[in-house]
Amino acid sequence: MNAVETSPSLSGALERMDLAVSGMTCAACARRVERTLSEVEGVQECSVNFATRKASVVFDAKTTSVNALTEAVASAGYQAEVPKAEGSSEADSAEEKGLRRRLAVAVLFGLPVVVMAMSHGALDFPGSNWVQLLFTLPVIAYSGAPIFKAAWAALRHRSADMNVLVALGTGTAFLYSVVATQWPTLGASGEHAGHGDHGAALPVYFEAAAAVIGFVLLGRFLESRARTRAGDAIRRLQALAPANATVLRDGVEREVPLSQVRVGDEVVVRPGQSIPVDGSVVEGASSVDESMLTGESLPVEKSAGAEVFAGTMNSTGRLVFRAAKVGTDTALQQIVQVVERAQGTKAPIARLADVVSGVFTPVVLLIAIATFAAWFVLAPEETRLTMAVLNTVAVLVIACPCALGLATPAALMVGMGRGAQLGVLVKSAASLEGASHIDTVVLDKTGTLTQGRPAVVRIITSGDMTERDVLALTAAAESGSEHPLARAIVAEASARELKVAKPESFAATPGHGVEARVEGRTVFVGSRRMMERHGVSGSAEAERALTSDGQTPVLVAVDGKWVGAIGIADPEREEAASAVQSLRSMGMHVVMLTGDHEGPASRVARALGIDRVFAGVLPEGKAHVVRTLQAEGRKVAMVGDGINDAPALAQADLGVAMGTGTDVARDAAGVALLRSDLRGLPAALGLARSTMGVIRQNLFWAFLYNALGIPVAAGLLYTMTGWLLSPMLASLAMSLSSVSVLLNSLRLRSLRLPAAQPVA
Amino acid sequence: MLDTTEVMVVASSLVAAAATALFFFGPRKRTRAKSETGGAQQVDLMVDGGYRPDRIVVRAGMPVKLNVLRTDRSACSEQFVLGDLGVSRTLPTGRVVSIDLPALKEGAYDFTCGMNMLRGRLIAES
Repeated sequence: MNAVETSPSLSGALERMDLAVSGMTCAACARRVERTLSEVEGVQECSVNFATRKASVVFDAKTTSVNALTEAVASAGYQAEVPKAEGSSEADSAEEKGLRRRLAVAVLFGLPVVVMAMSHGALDFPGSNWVQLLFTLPVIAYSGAPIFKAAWAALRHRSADMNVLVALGTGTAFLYSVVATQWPTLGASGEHAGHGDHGAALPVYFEAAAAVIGFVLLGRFLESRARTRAGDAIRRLQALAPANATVLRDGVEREVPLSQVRVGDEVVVRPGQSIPVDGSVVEGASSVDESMLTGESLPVEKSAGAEVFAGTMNSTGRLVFRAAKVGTDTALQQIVQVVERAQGTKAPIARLADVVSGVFTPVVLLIAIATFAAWFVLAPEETRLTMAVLNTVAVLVIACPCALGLATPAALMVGMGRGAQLGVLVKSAASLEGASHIDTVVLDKTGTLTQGRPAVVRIITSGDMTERDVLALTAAAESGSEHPLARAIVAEASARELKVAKPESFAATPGHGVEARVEGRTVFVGSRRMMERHGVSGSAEAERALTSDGQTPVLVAVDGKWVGAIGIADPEREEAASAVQSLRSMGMHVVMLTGDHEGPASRVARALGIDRVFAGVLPEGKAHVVRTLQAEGRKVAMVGDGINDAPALAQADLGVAMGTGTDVARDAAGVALLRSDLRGLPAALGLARSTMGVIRQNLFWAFLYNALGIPVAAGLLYTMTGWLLSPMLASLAMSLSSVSVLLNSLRLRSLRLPAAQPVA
Repeated sequence: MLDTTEVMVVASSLVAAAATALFFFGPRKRTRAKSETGGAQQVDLMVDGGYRPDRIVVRAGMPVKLNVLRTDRSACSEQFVLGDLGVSRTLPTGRVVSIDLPALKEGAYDFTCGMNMLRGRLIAES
């Protein structure tokens, strides 16, 4: 993907570069280019691949330059250039400029022709048809050139696209008009011929040819702008990584192109710079804004050992980190690739559109032929040729396979791009479609709804000591223990900034608790069994209060007397309640799944407003729960960590991997939430619904447009109402139909997903 | 009754329709992938308003490397999609994009542009 790569085996100023060579027609040409390049001073190695039209050159950057190389190739009669980065906007804008020029010519010369034609004879003068012909010529030959060229290329491949239709339509109108100008009495043959009489002369339709090309170019111009905007989200992501990086080599800071950063390099990032590649910090401390990658709005503190990611913004301090992933391996590039790949996948809903658009153009050609024959046979003899030509041209130019072809990809591109900005990665169009049908969400309790680590939530005292004293003593007794409950107590004490003494002695009884001497006092900490063993009583009521609330009670006695009970539970995550609330307001049935007991499980469910709980589920039983829900006719989304939950994720109609952070390409889930924040889930489901809604609208309008437009253009309404569609109007409708599909898709860019916003 | 001109127009329309149908839907030439010893079988694919070749025969059960070169600038051909294999690539003009495909099972795999207008088929045979 990178134009310039320094091979690891190369040293000093040697650089390896790939050049795109054009103009080669045979293998002999390739050998000639190879020889020419090898003769350039400073070139060490060179090979030209004819098949790939690529020259791979190793050269000494001190003695020669890329310019010298391309000049050498040019002197041999070929063209070489540094391949542009993929999706280069430079090429795009050059194209847009060309398009604008051709459009200007079409307007300049086409407008007078249209005005003359619309005057209904008022502006006619002898030879006016010839003037129209002269004005139309540049529109066809210059403005229309790319259309005719593309049409020819397509026909050579025995395929047909919109260009073929437009080229045939305008070509027919133009040639017919040329003939009518030269031989004005041709159509009215035999006894009806007017013999030079102006009234019976064949009308010309130069304005149709000129206007159709003008409108098609206008449509294409609008389309190219809209299309550029459709890809904005991904382009912006790609542009996050800086072009250059500062690398420490032999203790000296050197600025090198991004492509030359290698794994293991020490990279320096100053405040305000974006991070060029992925790696881990070896020196310095700073806070880094990772919102562009994960949607997480708060800056993340980084110091030695922390991972940093390409494209994120270093804000406060200088960081030195060791590059771990470069080039396309960085998380940023992985995200871009996942989205790009997903944008090209087919949604099941688009299958019919695919089948139709595949045979669309040939079928329209057949309809056009039938239209011509029918009008020629059925219309009055004096007008049959003009009617047949006009309606055939109208059929050719109104048919718009583009609207049909763009309906799904345009919406996917915008929708998935928007998702990526919000930290929601959708892996394929099929997952997106699946996500839009979800009505039930299965959430794992631990880690997803709760913080996944126990914490002190309540302290009850006997009244003999204060809460703080109980906590401080307990923390002192537990300070040597590795038990999770013990750690929760110690953490709480330090969070409350209590002075925790060092225990004089400490003994743990597994399954019971600990016994310690703290500041000359004997402290028992543990379960009821521990208390009973030491003959301590009085704790039963406090214990019941905590247990009934789903908390694990830790009882504390000092010198043989019960002093308090500490309730420990796995607290809900801050954003879980609002996420569940959003899901329920979307009409989702929210189900909690946990390996935990009924008590703690229903405590969390109550606190968060969850509809249904499956408690005591073993990891391997998760898939079974998903199956049970599916058997009830539900469309189930399962949220998991992406690795341990693989069977359940696969069983669910939609697997959502949460908090995979930046390791997105790895798991098999259909949707990945980059941020470990449950609010991404309603955002993802909302995004899927909106995107599918836009796709459905696009497909509907594109189908309806063609299904109505083609018969009308063919003149079907003529028998009933006398309506005929002029080719000019037909081309305007065609141009606007694909633009409207794009504009409708662009609405997704500003999609607001309230649940995806950070907590205030 | 139809006059002579009308009969001629109808007759030539029928001929034109038949020719059009045959031209677009008739049988196509197939191109076989080059096998490289030890590596993947290689196929050079040109994109200029269509795919050349547009019928590619590869050996099933052996990786395939597609070297795709797009020479035209139309927006249509910018995207290369091999839907069945989950491949979607942007093709910059004038630059070869190599696409590595895994060993394929026997069958036909259609490739198209992003809008499904340009079409080709990859046929894996044993």
